[in-house]
This record gives sequence, structure tokens and C-alpha cells, in this order.
Amino acid sequence: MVGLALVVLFALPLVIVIWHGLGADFISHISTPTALQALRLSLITSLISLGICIFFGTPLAYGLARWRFRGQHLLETLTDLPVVLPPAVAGVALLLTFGRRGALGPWLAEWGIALPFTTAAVIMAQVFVAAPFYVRTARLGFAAIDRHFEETALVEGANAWQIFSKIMLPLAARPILSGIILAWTRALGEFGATIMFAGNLEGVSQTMPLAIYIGFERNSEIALALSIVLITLSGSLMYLLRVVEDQSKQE
Amino acid sequence: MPTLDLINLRKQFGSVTNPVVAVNDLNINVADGEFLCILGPSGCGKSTALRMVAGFEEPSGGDVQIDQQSIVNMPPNKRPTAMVFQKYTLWPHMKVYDNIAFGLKLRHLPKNQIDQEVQASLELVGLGKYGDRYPAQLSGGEQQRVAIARALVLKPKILLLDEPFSNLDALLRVRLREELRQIQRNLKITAVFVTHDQEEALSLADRIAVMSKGELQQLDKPATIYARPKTLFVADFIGAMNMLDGEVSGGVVKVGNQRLPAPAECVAAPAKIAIRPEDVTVTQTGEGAWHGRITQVSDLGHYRKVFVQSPDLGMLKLYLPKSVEVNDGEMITFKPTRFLIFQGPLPPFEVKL
Repeated sequence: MVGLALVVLFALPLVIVIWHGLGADFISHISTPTALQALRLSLITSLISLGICIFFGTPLAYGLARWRFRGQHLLETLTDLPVVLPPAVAGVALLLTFGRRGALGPWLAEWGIALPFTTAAVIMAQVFVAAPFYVRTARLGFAAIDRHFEETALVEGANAWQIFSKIMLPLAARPILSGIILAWTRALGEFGATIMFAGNLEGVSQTMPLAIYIGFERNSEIALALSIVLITLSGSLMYLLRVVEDQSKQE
Repeated sequence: MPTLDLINLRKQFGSVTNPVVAVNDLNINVADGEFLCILGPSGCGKSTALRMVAGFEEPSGGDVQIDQQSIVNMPPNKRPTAMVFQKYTLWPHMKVYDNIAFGLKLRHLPKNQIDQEVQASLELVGLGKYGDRYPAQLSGGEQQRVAIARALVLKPKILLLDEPFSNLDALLRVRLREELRQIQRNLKITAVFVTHDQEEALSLADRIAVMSKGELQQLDKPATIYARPKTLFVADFIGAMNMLDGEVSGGVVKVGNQRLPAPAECVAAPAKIAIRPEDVTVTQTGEGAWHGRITQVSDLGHYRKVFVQSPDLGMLKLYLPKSVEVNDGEMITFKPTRFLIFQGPLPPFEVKL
């Protein structure tokens, strides 16, 4: 019963947002150019970020799960760190590294690359905060596979790539899917690092969370409509996560 | 013709300064078509030895040869061996067919040949119609049968089995054991089977290698292992045994208040006397008869297991035919008919009365 207090704290504001948002002509607000642009940008950037997380994160997770090496715990802690780090710190760190006056800024400028306040910066911020969720979940998934599955494949004649692609990857499919969902929701909701490193330019770096933040000062109806979209999208993804986790428990 | 030789095979774990020797100078030869069991308690190094044959562990010394060719520098996926594990054997995301076809597909065999060989190997283990099922839809025994089929389909030179039936219940274990033996005989495949279950080893093996603490204790036929154990460990580990403290002097070994004849070669020194529970005969009281009080009688089908509390020798275990009348609490007199005298690390002397 005491726990219900927490549930009320979660649920009540969400219900009120939906109540207000849907009451105030939701369709017309969500179809404004600002809202649509933010929605489109959020979807595109978060999907690209997700792709980057999967492409680089899967081998990293596999390596961390299977190989024992010096400094392993350090590397694992490092990849977990952004989970608990305030996104603002990530924003500062990204600016200090890739900003115009950052550590790599002058070198990047020589190549004609300026990252801050671009869509690329949005993606970098999203990858920074979302990748750890993916790497961690996938790593635990790979690590949970009994070594006999792999050794059997080895005596059957499979090489390292065949073991990875035909045995380990399918066996870790559910945790990997969980990781994808977690990373995607995190990327969709990313705010702090984005606003510091990528700014808040409509159509370039103004993702849904940023549009909500800015919109709340100017036009709270658009903010409410976007909030409803985010709540629905993230809510559906989290529900999907529950389903995936339930299924893997049954196996 | 596939033969397997383990030559001075050694494996140590841990640091150089504080090594833990898992396998110490192991020498085992497995003949073509032979079924060899490596038997020992857990932690004796038997699985480590097998894993060195499969290539999962790198030997610290010595050699592993198949057909007189060293394979220690060969990666596991290139070795002509196949392996069946105790559990987590089948890949759960593949149907039975795909599990068995896995190695054949890697070898790029034509589809119809793969189909034929998968079907033939499934029929070999009596699961001809199971190709379309997922492992989760099979019982534990069926899963192990598929694992055996998958290992055999590659026509390995050496079949390795690491306690494949240990997770099954007793009845099923016996049945699968017999099936495996039949298949192995028909295919004349060379097999090494690791187990801690002596009954399994005694009933399956052409020869048994008994290991303890990383060392080979004895390598012999099951009947020899049972009748003439070479070391105290084997005498104690295989079958039931009454182990008694004795003292040899002048052609006689004293056990408690009893005197038994000892061969002239025995040195005058303490000895261990080993008597199998079935190597006794019930007698009248008199010269050389042992006696004690019966404390427990268990009927084990065709014979009885009887515990006897002897005043000078402690608790003894006897297997007696059912023709002998025994009752709890009664006195019984008996004589040993055969025993072994162990002195130091040497093979024992056998005495028949």
C-alpha cells in the first residue's frame, strides 16, 4: 500500500499531461511545422544513433563478455558510467573535446569539420548517453550463454565468426533486443547533452525533448502534444521490453 | 585406423610459483575401435584430460596423438574429434535437423547429402521423426540422443563424451548407456567416455582408466580393475571393499585377533587387507572363523547385504547368497575366501583360501 504513493507520483502527472494535451486540439498542434520537424528529427537521429550503438556496441559487448584481460573492470565501469552520469556532464565533456575550442576542435576545423550545433552533434550526444544501455544489456546477454554451446560449435568445426553469427548472436537475441529498446528510448528522451553540445536549432538539432522545453515557454500546447507523443512512444517501447523479458524468462 | 595416445600429458593451472597440477604425466593409449572410460571422482583431472584431447585446454606438457600424429597445435575446430557434453548440448534456437546439419553445412556438403546423413544419424539413435522439433520439445534423454547423433554425423575419428548421461535419471541412464554401447560397437568408432559413475564405466568400457588427483591409477579391463585393483585408491573406489589394518610377520598377516596366511614375498610391516563383501563364506565356529553380530540386513534382489559388527575388526559389509539364513541381532561366523594385501605403493598380493 505504501508503494502506491510512488505509483501515484509516476502516474498522476502523466495522466494530467495526457488530459490537458488531448483536450487542447491535439491533432492541430502536432501538425504544426515545429512539432513535425522535431518529431522527424528525433526519429531520424535516434535511429541513426541506435544503428551506431548496435554496430560498434555489439562487438564491444561480445569482447567484454568473453575475454578476460587486464583492465577489464575498468573498461566495463567506463562503458557503464554514462548511465549514471548527468547528461549535462556529457554535454560539457563533448564540448570540451569536440567543440570549436575543444581539444580536437582545431584539428577537426582543419578538415573543415565543425561539430557543435549540427545534427551530427545531436547524434553524438545520443550515442554517448544511449550506448551504455545497449552495451551493458548485450554484454550480460552474451555472458549468460553457457560455454558448452560455444565449445560444441567449435568441435563441429565452426570458426570464430561462424560461432558469433550462427550461435552466440541468435542465443543472445532477446537481451540484444532489450538493449536496443532501452538504448532507443534513452536516445529519444535525450535532452541535457544535446542542448549543450548541439544547441536548439529548429530542423537541425531541435529534437522532441528540446522542442518541449522551448515550446513550454512559448506555446505550451505544442509542448503538451509532443509530450504525449513521447509518452506513448516510450511507453510502448517499455511495454515491448516487458514482453521480450517475459518471453526470455519462459525459455 | 584411428588410435589415440596421451603421452606424458600434463596440465597445471595457477601461477608458476604455486601451480595446481590437474593432470600429471598421463599415459593412455586407446586402440582403434576401443571404448575407453576415464573414471574418477570429481576433480581428479579426467575432464581436463578430455578437454585437452578436444583442444579446449592447452597441455602444459606432453603430447596428444591421433594415428601417431600430434594434434596439440591444431585448433579444436580442425581436430578430427567430436564431443558430447553433459548439459547445454543442443543449440536451443535450432531445430533438431539444423543442430545435426550444422557441421555438415560448414563443410559445404550438397543439400541432399546433408538431408540423407542427418536422417541416417537420427535413425541411428531412434529419433527418425524428430528432425522438425526444437530441443525444448524433447526430453533430456532425447536431447542427449540428438547430441550423440550430431557428434556421429561428422564421422569423427575419436568420439569424446564428457559425462553425457549424468543429468538423466537412473533408468534412462542405463538404457542410453546400452544404446550408446550398441551404436559404438556397430560403427566400430574409437570412443573416450569420462564418468564418475563406476557402474557406468564397468558396464560400458573395453578398458577403464582410473584417475585420482591428476594421476593414472590403473588402466585395465573392467573385470581386472574389479578383481585385481593395483592401488589402494582403486580398491577403495571401485565396488564395495572392507579395508582392514593388518601386520605382516613370518608368512602370516595379523588382522585384529585373526591370522591369515601371507605370501613369503610380503615384508614384515603394517599392511592394508582388502576383502570384497562377496569374498566370504558362512561357516561353523571353529579354527580361523571370524564372528560378529548382525546389525543390518538389506535384501538386494538376488543377494543380501549384511552389516556385521565384529568385536575386533569394527563394521564389516558382507554380500551373502539368499540361501543363507541371517537375522538382525544374531551372531554370525564366516571366513574370508579371497583377499588382497597392500603394502606401500606396490601392487597388492592376492591370497585365495
